[in-house]
Amino acid sequence: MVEYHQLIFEISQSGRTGADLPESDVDPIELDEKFPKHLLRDTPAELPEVSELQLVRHYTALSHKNYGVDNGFYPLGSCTMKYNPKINEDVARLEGFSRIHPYQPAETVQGALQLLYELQEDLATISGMDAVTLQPSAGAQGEWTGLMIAKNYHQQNGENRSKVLVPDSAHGTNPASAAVAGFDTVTIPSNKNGLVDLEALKKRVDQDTAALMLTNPNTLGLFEKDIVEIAEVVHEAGGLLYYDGANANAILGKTTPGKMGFDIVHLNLHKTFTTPHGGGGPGAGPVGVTKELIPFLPVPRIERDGDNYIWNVDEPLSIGRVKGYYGNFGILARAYTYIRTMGPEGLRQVSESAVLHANYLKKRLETHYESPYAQFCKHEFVLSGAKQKKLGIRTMNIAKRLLDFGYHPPTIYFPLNVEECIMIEPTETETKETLDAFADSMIQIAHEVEEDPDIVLDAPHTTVVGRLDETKAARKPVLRYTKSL
Amino acid sequence: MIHITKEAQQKLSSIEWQDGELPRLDANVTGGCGLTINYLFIFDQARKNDTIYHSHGVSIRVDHFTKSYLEGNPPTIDYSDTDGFQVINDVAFDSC
Ligand SMILES: Cc1ncc(COP(=O)(O)O)c(C=O)c1O
Repeated sequence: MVEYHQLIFEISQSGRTGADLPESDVDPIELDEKFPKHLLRDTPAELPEVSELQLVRHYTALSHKNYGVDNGFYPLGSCTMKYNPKINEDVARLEGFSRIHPYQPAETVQGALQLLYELQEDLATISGMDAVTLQPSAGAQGEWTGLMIAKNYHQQNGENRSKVLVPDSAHGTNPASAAVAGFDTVTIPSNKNGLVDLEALKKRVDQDTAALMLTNPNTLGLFEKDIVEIAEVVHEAGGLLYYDGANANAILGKTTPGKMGFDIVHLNLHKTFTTPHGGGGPGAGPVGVTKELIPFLPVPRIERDGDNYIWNVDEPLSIGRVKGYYGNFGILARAYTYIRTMGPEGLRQVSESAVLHANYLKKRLETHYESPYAQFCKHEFVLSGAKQKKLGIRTMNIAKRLLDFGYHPPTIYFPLNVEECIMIEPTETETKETLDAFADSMIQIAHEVEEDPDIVLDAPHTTVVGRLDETKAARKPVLRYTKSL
Repeated sequence: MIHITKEAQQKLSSIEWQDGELPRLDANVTGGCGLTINYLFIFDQARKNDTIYHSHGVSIRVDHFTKSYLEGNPPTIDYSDTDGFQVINDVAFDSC
């Protein structure tokens, strides 16, 4: 039996084909007459030569090695790996959506434009903002878009504010987006309760502050209870408040960034709104803004003109276009489907269940792992592997051991301000049985650390690929396949 | 597995250790999306499963996790009066 764990190049047999082409009925062309010599290969490309069935088996076998939410529990903190309902796929595949082209005249794609317009309106309601653009194709691109809006807004007011404040628990994309948008970042420390240190914030806010970026609940899963005062401090200095919507799953239908005083919001549709997450996209990071910032939104903008939907490109203060066409339409269609099938009450229940699930797991685990923050959490929580570190076992080992139990490990070593951090986000779509089984596995690992540490140190034991030599991969990466390998 | 410069050896030999304390080379993982290993040089108590390296009259503890990163990539521990102890050789891996 041929094992389909080989590279497709390794199963290749010279001369084998997957498809026969008919005899050519035109004269061959001499390539070197048509192309300069330096553009032509000396030897043929080593493309794999396989039959159609071999090809199908190869990729089917590869697909079985994937792990996703459809395979099992995926409590990756900060990523909201919830179930993506299949009805989303049905809708995105409707011919009226999947077979249209962005260059079609607006009057021939009114249904698609209506979907985009209504999604903008829904997301504005959900976030408490006055208008939304659907163009950005990821959270990070939404951040950059929002910061460019802030920059242009300040410049329009005759100000060149150069600083963006970010808490030390922020996701790495926050300071990165600020840097790409041309700002200097200033870090705000967290206090011992894991929240923004208000006094430190007051000291760092000044006339040069363009914006404070914050996610609430923050990346420790804790609600910033001083948010109204935080907003006042920033606003009084003339700065704007930016909401990183990565954690919106905790607040749907309960409150909005608008109510908390935020001016700019991005939402990750691939987290909160059940569009596929991972694999490099496509994603979507729509950005919402308050009234004063609407003129700066990217163009084109979809607007309603009587019964018609039209593209508006005529906005002189706009930061311009941030994405080809109008964002990842298929993803937007999925998020729209989710919002419309759930409805406002359904979305509120999503958040309530997400928060309940996280607190249930936290309670079950915090006697076995250090829990740095005692208060109730929102949709996710962090544990620390500090106790296990004293026994010579690291969070990395615990994460690898979880693979043996069939789980995708939680996020580890983030946020940076928690030692040996384990960040767990169960989401609302899991059953109590799954939560209990996961907790049982985590507790078993905690016992193993004390009684049988080798089994944890040498994990994973059951995966297709065992322990990888990460150091070698980093120092001597082989980035190109050659036959001699 | 671990290189120790002359300056570091001299400094370490001059320290009087108390209450089970010894120097430790500790792999520290930081990151989030892209993980990086950087080495810390600290003085602390024994952990279960420690390995002790003896070199030129000095003993250095390494836990099991750290040990797995040392093979083939020996870091160097250096000392200077201005910068104190320093470990040269960080590893970045698994960036997404
Ligand atoms: C808190 C937080 N902010 C921002 C982002 C960036 O989102 P994206 O990965 O879509 O660029 C993430 C995603 O991992 C996140 O967890």
